[in-house]
Amino acid sequence: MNAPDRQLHRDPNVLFAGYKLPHPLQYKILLRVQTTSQSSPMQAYNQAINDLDKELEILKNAFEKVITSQIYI
Amino acid sequence: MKKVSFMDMPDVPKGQLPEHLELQRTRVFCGSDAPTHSEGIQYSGAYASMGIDNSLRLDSFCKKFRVEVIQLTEDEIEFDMIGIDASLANAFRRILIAEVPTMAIEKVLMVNNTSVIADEVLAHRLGLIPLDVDPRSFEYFSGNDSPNERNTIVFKLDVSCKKGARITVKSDQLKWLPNGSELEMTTPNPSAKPKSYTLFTCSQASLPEFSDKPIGPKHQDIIISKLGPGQAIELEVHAIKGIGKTHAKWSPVATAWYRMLPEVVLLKEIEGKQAEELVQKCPVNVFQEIEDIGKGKKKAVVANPRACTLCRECIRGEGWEELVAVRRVKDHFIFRIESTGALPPEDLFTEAVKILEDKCDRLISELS
Amino acid sequence: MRKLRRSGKIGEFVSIFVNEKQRCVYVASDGGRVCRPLVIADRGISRVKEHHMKELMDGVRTFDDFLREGLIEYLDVNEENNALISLYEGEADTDTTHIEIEPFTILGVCAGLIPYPHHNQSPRNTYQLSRMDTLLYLLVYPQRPLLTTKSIELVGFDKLGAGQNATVAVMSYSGYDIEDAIVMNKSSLDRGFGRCIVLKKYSVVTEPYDRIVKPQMISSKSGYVVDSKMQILDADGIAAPGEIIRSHDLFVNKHSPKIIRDQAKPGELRETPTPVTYKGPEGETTVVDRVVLSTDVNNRLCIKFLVRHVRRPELGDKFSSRHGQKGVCGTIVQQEDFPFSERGICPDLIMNPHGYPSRMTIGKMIELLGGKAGVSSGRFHYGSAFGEPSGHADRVEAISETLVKHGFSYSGKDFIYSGITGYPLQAYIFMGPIYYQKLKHMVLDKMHARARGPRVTLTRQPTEGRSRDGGLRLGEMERDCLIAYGASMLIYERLMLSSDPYQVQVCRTCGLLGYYNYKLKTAVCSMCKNGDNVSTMKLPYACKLLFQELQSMNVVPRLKLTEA
Repeated sequence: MNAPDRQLHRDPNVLFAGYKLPHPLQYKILLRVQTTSQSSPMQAYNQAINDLDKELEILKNAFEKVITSQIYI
Repeated sequence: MKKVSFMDMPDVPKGQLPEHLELQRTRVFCGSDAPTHSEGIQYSGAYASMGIDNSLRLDSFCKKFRVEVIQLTEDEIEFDMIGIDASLANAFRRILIAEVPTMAIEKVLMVNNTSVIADEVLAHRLGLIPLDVDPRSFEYFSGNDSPNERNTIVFKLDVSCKKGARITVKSDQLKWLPNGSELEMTTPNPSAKPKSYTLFTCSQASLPEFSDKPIGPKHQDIIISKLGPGQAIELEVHAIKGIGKTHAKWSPVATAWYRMLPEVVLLKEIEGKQAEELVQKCPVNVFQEIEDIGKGKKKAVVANPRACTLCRECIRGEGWEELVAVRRVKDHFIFRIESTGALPPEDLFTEAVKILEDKCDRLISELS
Repeated sequence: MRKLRRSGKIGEFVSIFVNEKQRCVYVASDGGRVCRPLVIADRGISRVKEHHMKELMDGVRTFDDFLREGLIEYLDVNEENNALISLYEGEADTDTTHIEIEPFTILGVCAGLIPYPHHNQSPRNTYQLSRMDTLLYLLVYPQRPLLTTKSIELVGFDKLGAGQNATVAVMSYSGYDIEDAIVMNKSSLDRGFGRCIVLKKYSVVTEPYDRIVKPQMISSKSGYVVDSKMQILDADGIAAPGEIIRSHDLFVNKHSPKIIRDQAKPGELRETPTPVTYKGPEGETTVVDRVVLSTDVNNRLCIKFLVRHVRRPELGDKFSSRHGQKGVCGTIVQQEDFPFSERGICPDLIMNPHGYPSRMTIGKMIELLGGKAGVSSGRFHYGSAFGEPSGHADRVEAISETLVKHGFSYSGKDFIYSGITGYPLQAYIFMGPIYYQKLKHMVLDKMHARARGPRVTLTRQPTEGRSRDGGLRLGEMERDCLIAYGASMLIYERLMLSSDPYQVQVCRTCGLLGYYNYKLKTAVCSMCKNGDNVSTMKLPYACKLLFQELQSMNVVPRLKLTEA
C-alpha cells in the first residue's frame, strides 16, 4: 500500500496523500488525496497507478534480461 | 552592493542539493545509539525552496534503475536492485511471502491411525510439507467446485510397521495418485454406485506437464512420523492451491527479505596502531590494512563494505564515531529470496511483479 | 554436641542451635524440617580436600562417607542462623564456619529452572515459581531451553520440555501489547508454535440392568441413515476412538429399565433411553482419543472416554517467560507485517519494553543474549544461580564477545526494517530467543456468557459456576461501590429485577404474607381470613424465603407498608 502512496507524493500537484487502516483485523484501507486546482485527485491517482504500472514493467523486463543472461553464462 | 541571492553565489552548486542535505536524503546514518534519517523524503516539494525538484519522473526512473544478480542457485537468489524505493521493495517482499500461490496439502482423509501422533498433529505436519509442483498449472478450488484434476492433487500414505522394529515414516512414502481418490464416500443409498471423493475426468499423468516429472514432495527425507511395532497409518490427502496470507503452508518462500547496501566511510585518515585496532575490531573483515607506500605506515582502508552486518563494533568506544561513519544507501537493495522448491526463485520474483501489476490494473479498471 | 553429630553418634538430621537472647540451646530432632548439606570449614579452611574429591570421582568414597567422616553436615533453618556460610571457597575467611557445596543449591528445584535468577528482583522469581504450577497439559512441539542451568540438567527438565524457544523482539508494536500483552506472529502459529493438546476424561458407569444398544437406522429419503446424534457410535453403541465429537452427540447409547410396579402391558417400551451426551462449547473439534472398558469396585461396567482437543494459541491465551513475566496474547499479526532484521529473521513474539523498568528482570535480558549467542555458536549456555565465578554461568562479557564474533552487536540490538513501510526503524531493537511457556489459562476454558438461564431451586436465583451456566455475582463489595455512587436504581435492577423478583401479597393489618386465590381472583390473608387489606408488592424471592424461615422459628417478621 505504501507504493502507490509514494507515487502520489512524487506528483508535484498533490498537496496531501495518506492512508490508514481503521482496524488491523479488518482488511480495509482509507486513502485520502488532496490536489491543487491544476488536477483532480482522481486524475492524480490514476496517473500514479499508471506510472507504477509502467515502472513495474520496466523492472520486470530488466530483471528477466539479467536472469537470462546469467543463466547462459 | 547589489543584493545577490545566496543561490546565485559562485560556490553554491546549482541544480543540486548541498552535500550534507544530499547525504541526508539518500543515506541512513547508523549512529551508535540509533539510526537517523531512515525515512525517505517523499514530498515532492520538500526542497522547493532550494529550487530542486524531488518528484519522480518515469524517465529518471528508467535511467537510474538497474538489476544485478549476485548469486543464483536452484533454491536461492541474491540480487541487487538499484534505484527503486523502499516501499516498492517492501511490496515485493510482502507479495513474495503472502500472495504468490502454491500447492499444499489441505484435506486429510484418515482411514487408520494407530501411531502415537494424534490425527490433528499428523494432518498439521502433512500440510507443511512443500510439494514440488508448479502452481501455475492449477486453478483455485472454491467452495462450489467439486475436486477435479484441475484443482486437486491426491496423495496416499500407507505405512505399517511389523512387529519387532521401529520405522520412520518419511515424506517419500507419500505416493501420488494421478487418477484421483481411491477412497469411497459412504453413501446413504446402498444401491447407488459408490462415489469417490474426487471427480477426475482424466488422469493427471496424461497432462503434459506431469507426464515426465511425477508430482511429489520436494524433499524426500522429511520425517512425518515414527511408528512402533504393530502401528499403522493409512490416509489420503488432497492438496489445493492457496496463498500464504491464509496459512503459512502456502507460502512459496522459506523467507524473502532485503537489506540496504551498507556504506562504510572513513572520515579521517586512520594510520598505524589505530588502523590495526580497527581491522581487528570488525568481525567480518570490512577493513583491511594496506601499506601506504609513501610514508611506510599502515593505513586502514574499507575493503568489503557489503559484508557489514552493522554490529557497530567499529564505532563502539570513545572517539570512534568521528573516524568511521557507517551508513546505508537508501535506494540500493540487496534482495535474498529462499524458495521452498515449488518454483525457482527467479520465477518467484517474476510472479510477484506480475501480481503487483495485476493489482494496479485492477485498481485502474475499478476507478474508471 | 555438634562434634557428636559429626562423628555420627547422633543422627545427622538433629539440629543444635544456640539462641543468644534466650540464653538456651535448642536441640531439635523431629521430622519435617528442611535441611541442607554444607561443607564444614575450620576457620575458613574447608575440610573437604583435593584427595577427597578425587576419591569421590573415582568412586571410592560416596556422599554418605563424607557425612560420616564429618566433612559435610546437614543444617536446618535455625542452625543456619548460627553459621557464617561463604558462597565460594575463595571467599572464606577465618570466621567462616561453612562453605556452600554449590551456590545454586540455595534455591530449590523450581527456582533452579530460572536462568540468572541472581539478576532478577526477588519477587519476580517467586512469581515464576507459581507460574510453574499452572503449567500446561501437553505441548505438541516441546523444546528444551537454550539457556539452561545446572539444576535443569540435574533434574532432567531439559528432557521434559515445557515450552518453546521463541524469537522475541522487545519493542512497541501496534498498541495491542499494552499491560503485558504479547503480539504473536500468525505464520509462527501456523507452523505449530505454542500448540497444545488438552485431554479430558469422561466416564460412564452402567447399572446392572442397563443395556447398550446398537444405533438404530432410520429410513429417510436418501436411504438408511443413522440419527444425527448417534453418528459417532460404533456398531456396539459406544463412541469409536478417532471420531470427531460435537456438542449434543451421544457417547453411549444406553437404555435403562423403567421401574414398573405391576406387569407391563405387552408392547410397551420397557426401557427408557438414557444416553450420555457430550456437553462442549460449540465449534470445537474434539476427538475421542481412547475408550477404555473396565469394571469399578462394585463390578459394574464402567466406560471411560479420553477426549482430546488440539488448541492453537488465540487471543486471550496466557504465556509466560521464565522470569515471572506473564502476558496474554493481544493480537495475531501476519508475518509480512512483522519487522525483519538484516538477516531476514522475523520474531515470533513481540514484547512490550514497558514490562522491564518496574519489574527489573535483568535475567531475561541476559537470557536473550545467551540464547542468541548459543544459536550462533551452536552450544547451550548456562545461567545457574550465582554461578559466574565457578563457571556454571556464562558471564555477560563472554557472551557479548561471542555475539560480536558472529557479526551481531555486542548489546544484542539489531538494525530492523519495518514490515509495513519497508523503511528501517529509528532505533536498534533488542531481539533474540527467550524460552516461553504456555500457561494453563486458556480463553476457551474461561469464556462464558449468560442472558437468562437456570436458577437454583431453593432461592430461585441464577446458578453459580460456568459449568452450570451461571451468572456473575455482584458481591458485597461491589454493592458498596454502587451505594457510594448513590446509584439506587442500578442496585434495584441488579439485585432484584435481574435476579429473583417475586410478587407477594402483604396484608396491611397483620403484616404477614398472604396468598392469591385464583378462583376468587382476589388476594387473601391467611391470618385475618379476609382479603380486605391486602396489597401486592415485589420482593426478592430470597427475602420472602428469609421471612418464611423466620416464621418457622417462631419469629414474626411483620411488614409495615406505607404509600410509595
